[in-house]
Amino acid sequence: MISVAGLRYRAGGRMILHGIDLQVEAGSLTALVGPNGAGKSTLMRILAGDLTPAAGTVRLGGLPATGGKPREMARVRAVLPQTYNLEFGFRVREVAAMGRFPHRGGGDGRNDRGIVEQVLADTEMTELADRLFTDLSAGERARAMFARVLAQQTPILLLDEPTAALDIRHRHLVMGLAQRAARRGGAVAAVVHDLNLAGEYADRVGVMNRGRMTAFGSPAETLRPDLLTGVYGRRIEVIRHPETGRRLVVS
Amino acid sequence: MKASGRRLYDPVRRRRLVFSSLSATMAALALLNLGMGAVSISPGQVLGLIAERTGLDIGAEATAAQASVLWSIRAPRILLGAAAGGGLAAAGVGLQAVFRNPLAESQVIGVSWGAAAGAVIALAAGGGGLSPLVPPLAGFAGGMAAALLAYRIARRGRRVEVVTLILAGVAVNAAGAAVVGILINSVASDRLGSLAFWSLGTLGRATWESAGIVLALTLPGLALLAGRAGELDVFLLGEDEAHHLGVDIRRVRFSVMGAAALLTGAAVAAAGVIGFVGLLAPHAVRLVSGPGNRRLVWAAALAGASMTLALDLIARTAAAPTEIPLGVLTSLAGAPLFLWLLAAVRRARGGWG
Repeated sequence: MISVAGLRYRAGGRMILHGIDLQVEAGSLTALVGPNGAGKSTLMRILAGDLTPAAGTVRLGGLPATGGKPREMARVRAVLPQTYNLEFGFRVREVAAMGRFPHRGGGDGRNDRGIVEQVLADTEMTELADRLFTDLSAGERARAMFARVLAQQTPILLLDEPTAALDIRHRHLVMGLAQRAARRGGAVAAVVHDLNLAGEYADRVGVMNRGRMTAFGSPAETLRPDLLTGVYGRRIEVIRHPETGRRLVVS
Repeated sequence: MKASGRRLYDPVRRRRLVFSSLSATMAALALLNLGMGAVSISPGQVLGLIAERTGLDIGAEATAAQASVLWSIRAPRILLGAAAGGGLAAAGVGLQAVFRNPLAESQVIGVSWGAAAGAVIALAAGGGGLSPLVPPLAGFAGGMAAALLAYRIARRGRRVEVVTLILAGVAVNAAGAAVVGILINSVASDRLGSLAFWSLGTLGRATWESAGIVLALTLPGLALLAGRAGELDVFLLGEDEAHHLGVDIRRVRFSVMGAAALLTGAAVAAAGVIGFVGLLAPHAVRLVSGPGNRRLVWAAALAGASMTLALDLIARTAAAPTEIPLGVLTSLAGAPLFLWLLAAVRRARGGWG
């Protein structure tokens, strides 16, 4: 559903991405991991249509990522950006309702209201729904924005560090919701720094380093100590959980 | 939890309350303005004169002089004040949304003096038979040029830098004011003679014709902004986010700037530079009914009209028989708010870096 081939991107005379290939099939969640500056966010911004690549093709649900009708694209993919600044005092419910914009132009319809209440409940934001977005903590803001993304109800989700500001409970909540969106037939691409979260929720992990996709495959194929140690430049081990047997990345 | 939240924040009730109280305030200020001034007309006489126009005789006798003052001086002045103030307030709403900046306003970013320069150039270049529609449209052109210039200078990537935007506004205002000053002083004709006072912002030149033109240009400007209100809400999330949500950001930006320039051009051509109304009215309304642009466009227009009528009443009566320029009073009220917002925005962004 997300299809990237031969993607190159240049900024300020420097090559940021050197020929990226990526396929995210319907029904699967792909986590993008890698050190800072690897090009993960640049790749996400190209997928979102914010940046235009120097070469290569990027297609989302069969449509080119840039140059299409904005509203048509907004029904295909939703984007959670890494940073946001909303300085005007909207309430959390109003922020979530903005996700309905591409479908109706607002969020006043009965159906829209039901969807908005549902995503607020899913993200555990119902109790905060009447609070001002500007009064929330960083983690609460992140969940409000994630609720807005879910309200868009698109087959493709592009999430840039959805868990960065969240506590351990809400990290699992958000990754669980992203996984559920994938299980329902969507395609999810998420930049994740927590390798254990990536290993637990992702179907595929793309390890990026210096503008290249160094490794791509199942968590077992990609979250390997030798590979990760090389990529991050720090000794990384993968051990088994003594009871569940799950793979744990420790450093 | 859900139910109690609804009761605390019942948007429908709150909206009705906001609109009815703003409309009542505007009507009350209009009546006050009809009655007060050098020729005093009692409230009963005001109502009597209005009833007379509609064919009713409610028996409140007024002199012919009073009738003349009310119908040919005060009524058009009130119409002009309401239309210009409402338009400037709505223009502020639109500019704050497209620039995603609570400080954006016609005068702050240079649109007002750009419009003033456009209008004065048209007046100076045009002969005696100039169509009364030309100055406001020239004002629109000047205001649009100023808005686009400010945007081009202040834009960096998909962000608009606050400080650069305001400094660009300072420069455009200085250039516009210089053009106005030069033309007023060098074209020593009767046509431009009274423009020195006009440039400070006044409703004193109101006629039924000028007020009607401003209203005729203001209503479509308001309708355009109201039609874009949902998109403007999404715009406040950020340009990228608006694009992700399906907003054609270039089109919205261009049409909203155009509407703001039209509203400002019409107001400025008839009433000079009345600054800060687009800052005062929208922020006052946001405090009560939140930042949602659907309500804000109309509510801010009503608030801006009321504010302008209230300040014009002071302008006419406080130092009678001389008149204080209205623009001076709006600046007096707006400058402290501007400074407060400046400090608040800097605090919220953690500096200007």
